[in-house]
Amino acid sequence: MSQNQEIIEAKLCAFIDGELDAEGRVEIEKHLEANPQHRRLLESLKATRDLIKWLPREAAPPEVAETLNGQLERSVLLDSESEFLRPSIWPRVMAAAAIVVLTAGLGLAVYFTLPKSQKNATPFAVRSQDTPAVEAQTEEKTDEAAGRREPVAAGVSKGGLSAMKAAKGGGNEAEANKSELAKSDEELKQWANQVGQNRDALNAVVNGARNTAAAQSGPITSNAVVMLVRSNAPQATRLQVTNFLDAQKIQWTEAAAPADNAQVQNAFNFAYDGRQRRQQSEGVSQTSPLVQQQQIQQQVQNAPTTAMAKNNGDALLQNSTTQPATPGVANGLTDRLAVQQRLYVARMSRQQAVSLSNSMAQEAQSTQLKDLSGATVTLAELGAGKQPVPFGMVNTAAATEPADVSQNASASYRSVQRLSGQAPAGFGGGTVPAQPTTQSTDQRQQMPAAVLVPGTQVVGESPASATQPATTQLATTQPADEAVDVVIVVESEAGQPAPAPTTQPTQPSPTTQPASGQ
Amino acid sequence: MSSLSHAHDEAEGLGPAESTKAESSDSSASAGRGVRPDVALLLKAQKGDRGAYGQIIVLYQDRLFNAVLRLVGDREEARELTQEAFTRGLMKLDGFRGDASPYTWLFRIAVNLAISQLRKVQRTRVFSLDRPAGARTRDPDQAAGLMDRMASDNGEQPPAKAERRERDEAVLAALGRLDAEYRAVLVMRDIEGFDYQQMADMLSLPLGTLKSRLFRARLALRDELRTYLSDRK
Repeated sequence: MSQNQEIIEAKLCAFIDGELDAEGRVEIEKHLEANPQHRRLLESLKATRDLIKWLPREAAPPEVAETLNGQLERSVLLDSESEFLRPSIWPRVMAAAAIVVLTAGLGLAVYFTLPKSQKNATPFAVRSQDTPAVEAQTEEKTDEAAGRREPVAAGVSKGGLSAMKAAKGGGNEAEANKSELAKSDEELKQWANQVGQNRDALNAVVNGARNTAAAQSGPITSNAVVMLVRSNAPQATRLQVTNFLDAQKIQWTEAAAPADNAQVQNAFNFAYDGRQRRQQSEGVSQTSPLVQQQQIQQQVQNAPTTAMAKNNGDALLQNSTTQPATPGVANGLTDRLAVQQRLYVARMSRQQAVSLSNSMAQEAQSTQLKDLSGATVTLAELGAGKQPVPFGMVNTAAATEPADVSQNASASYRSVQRLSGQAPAGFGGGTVPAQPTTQSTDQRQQMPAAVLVPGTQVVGESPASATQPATTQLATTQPADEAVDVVIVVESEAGQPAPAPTTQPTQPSPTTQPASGQ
Repeated sequence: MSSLSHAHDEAEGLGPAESTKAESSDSSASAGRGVRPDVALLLKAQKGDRGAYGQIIVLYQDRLFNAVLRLVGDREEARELTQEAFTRGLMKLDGFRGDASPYTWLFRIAVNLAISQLRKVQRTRVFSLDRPAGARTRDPDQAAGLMDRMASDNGEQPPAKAERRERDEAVLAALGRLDAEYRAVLVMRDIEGFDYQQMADMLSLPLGTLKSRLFRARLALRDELRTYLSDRK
């Protein structure tokens, strides 16, 4: 359509409707006068327009208003609901936020206030009041809370099964302790070999020389318990140990013995060495070896258990007059004990370790069971960057607290005297069974020392008497189901003839219990 | 404005003068004389008064339905489109700025819907004057079919009624054969009485183009009615 034609049509449309201006109307009238056919066309268009205008008007069906009114009513109701009935969003948001905050707070409170696996902890455990020990435990727990991501002590080499597990990337904290206890045979044997071949490191770690290269390169982890069972009946002791492990279905294996097993160093006599050197430097008169031997023989005659008890490092530290009557000393071959050791490594819970210690100690002090009579049981737990903590009890009358214990006692060893059945502050009291009948009354009346670890408590204690041995139980405030690597050292004097056990012991072959039995 | 348009305005409660002002979309002029009732209702509806919008519906439903019916030719379709136009108007209440009358605003929504519908459904539409069978009659005077209304006319003889019916049938049939754009401008101008500018605004066309389209629409309708007109001659 051309622009001109559109303009003409627009003018004609306006002319028909009577809305054309006067000038345009005059122009069109002139044209229509000259062209009557165009006038007839415009008249027909006007008639057509009128035909449309005359069309009847139709009313809307009632459905229109009804439907629309229904929609309006719904709209009003929805609006009313949104304005008046619907609760504001802020209370809901605040309620949700409060729930989240409370949940998080409760979770944090539970996480930080409740000890790990408290439900499995020994119910009769009490908190130790020994400040350093508490600090050490706090550090340990802090490390536990941190997922044991780092060694607890800078000077302690990270080793053992825990280290193996971490190295293998299997340190999933979500695993239950039970699963943690279930180690593969391969891991256990590997660690056992490391322990067996690095006894110097074991000795160094246990005796506090953990900053030495030997200790740091050793396999003993900071989360380990070294249990020294010193016995003059090694076969019976080993049988006792292995029977316990088997009964408890604890995974264990025996460490391979080194070539010079017959002359290995006593694991706990470093302190004795130091005291000897100190006495020498202070000019303390030294008893001749012959006199020493005579004294020791006399003591052994008086109390058969005493000699072995003194082999304990603690006893050696406290009482220099009771030097061990060892062939090594007597023969002048060495100033250390020449002992035989059998090492067993096991992975067990702390509670099981306590139970094993108690079992061994009770067995040792039992007058009915002679297998372990005269044995000493000492547990030394490593950890928290502190000195190794003795963990157990000493079954020896000769280990009574000497006068100079406060001056000479190692920080890691605590010998406590039981006074009227009341445990000294900070430690669990300990009782030691009634002394053998061969001991004098005075000796029996002496309260023997019980070496306990901070955080442990004596439970089930009955008044000691000369006729009725007291029953001593150890407990721990540490998480009872926490997995610990335990090195059980069954030590006896080298060359000591093995007495015939009451029960025929069988040499425990290196074996492991199935993990499924855990 | 034609008398027919004035009659509708009277039916809506609006005086002819007010209606003229409204149709010319001169809101500023009407503001000086007070707010029109329909504008006041729509303003109240904008503020959340759903009842006011209900009154708008009652006020304009017949006029809007009739316009849509002449556009689409089908009563049911016209009803649905009318409802849809009112519903969209409710949803777009905030879009009413007051620069046009409420009816112009609603009609623009309706005509766009109708044109879209006509373009979507391309079919020959048979426009009829007959009321569908079974349809309810809310108001016999308004909703009755052409025959009923003719019968109710005072003093009109049956031959004249038949002649009017024949004429209206022919016009509707011819209207149904036109293109949607032609049909729209004819309805807007000759039935609804909108002025050129309103139509141009609603259809978004230049004023000259709108007039040219209207002229051509009338030519097309005349051609469709040529047989009827020649017979009458």
